[in-house]
Amino acid sequence: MRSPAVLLAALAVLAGTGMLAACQPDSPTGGIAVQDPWIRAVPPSASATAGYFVLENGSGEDLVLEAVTAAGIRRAEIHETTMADGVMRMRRLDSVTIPAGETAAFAPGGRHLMLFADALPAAGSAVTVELAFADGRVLAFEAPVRRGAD
Amino acid sequence: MTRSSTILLPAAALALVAGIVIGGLVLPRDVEVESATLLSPGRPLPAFELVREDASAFTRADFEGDWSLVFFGFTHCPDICPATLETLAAVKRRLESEGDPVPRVLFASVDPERDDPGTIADYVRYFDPAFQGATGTPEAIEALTRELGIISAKVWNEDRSAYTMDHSASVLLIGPDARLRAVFSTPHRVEPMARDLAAILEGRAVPAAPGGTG
Repeated sequence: MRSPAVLLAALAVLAGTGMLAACQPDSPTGGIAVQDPWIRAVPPSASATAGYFVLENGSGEDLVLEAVTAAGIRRAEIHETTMADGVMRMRRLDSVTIPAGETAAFAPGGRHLMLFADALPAAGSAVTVELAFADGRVLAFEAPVRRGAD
Repeated sequence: MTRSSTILLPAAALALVAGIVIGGLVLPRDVEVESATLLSPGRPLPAFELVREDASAFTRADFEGDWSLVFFGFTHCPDICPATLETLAAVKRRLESEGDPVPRVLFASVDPERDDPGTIADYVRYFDPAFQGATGTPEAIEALTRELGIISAKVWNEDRSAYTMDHSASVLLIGPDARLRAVFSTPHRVEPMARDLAAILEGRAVPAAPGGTG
């Protein structure tokens, strides 16, 4: 058991580095939070799948999502599915800007992470995803792999 | 009025009311189809020849005798295709649990370059063991999709290292007469799709009134 003094010192260090407010599991980066992340479980023969989440930008400044990496995933990109006259189109996005105070949904049939790998993760597992922003911040989170219609 | 009729008449009236109420609850009623566009009497399919997993042909005659849902896509599709197949699997489970007739589900690849029939069959069985897969030469796919109003196009990325397929995301219902009978447009939702399919397959479906009840 650590002494109260050690705990207080640790808290002081955390507060001093501005990290205290960011210690909740869902918001490791100040004011930026990821909700409901998941990765679609797909057949073993598939070479690509999609990742979904809701990104809340409570940081007080615009956020520009520029790059994505994920453990065990060869390549991760930001894509957008659009529907026009019943025709599905999917295109890669270079970046996504989330204005200060706003929330961006990455959801089936819209913006999503496109994940390429020779062996994609199976349902029931989890993948560590890292979102890299233009200002150098990186937000890491665990995304469970599951099946789902939406 | 006799003593017995004073009892029987109210009893008969009560039975009549009860019959109407119960009948209204359990007897088949028309369903306004909201998740699909109905085609009546249906658009005949052209002659076509796709290829199944065992290399046998899948032709127009294979649609005869059964209702079939057909979805065109490709297995390198990470978002809409697996989401739609999950939805169709959930629709099938819903129909089965309600004791409703269940259509065949066919996933036809518009990307024969990367999807051979075995790959497609493996892919669709993940969603439901009874789902079937097929593809064909680009010419054969074009001959079928053109008549069904389905569009598909290969689109390369910037450095031409990979391509995706733009494609219509509608789910088509083919009747046992091998005619296109309904088109389910996006977004596909389990509840309305299952309800409307049950109505169509049981002959209880009517088109939604213009500006309908929503």
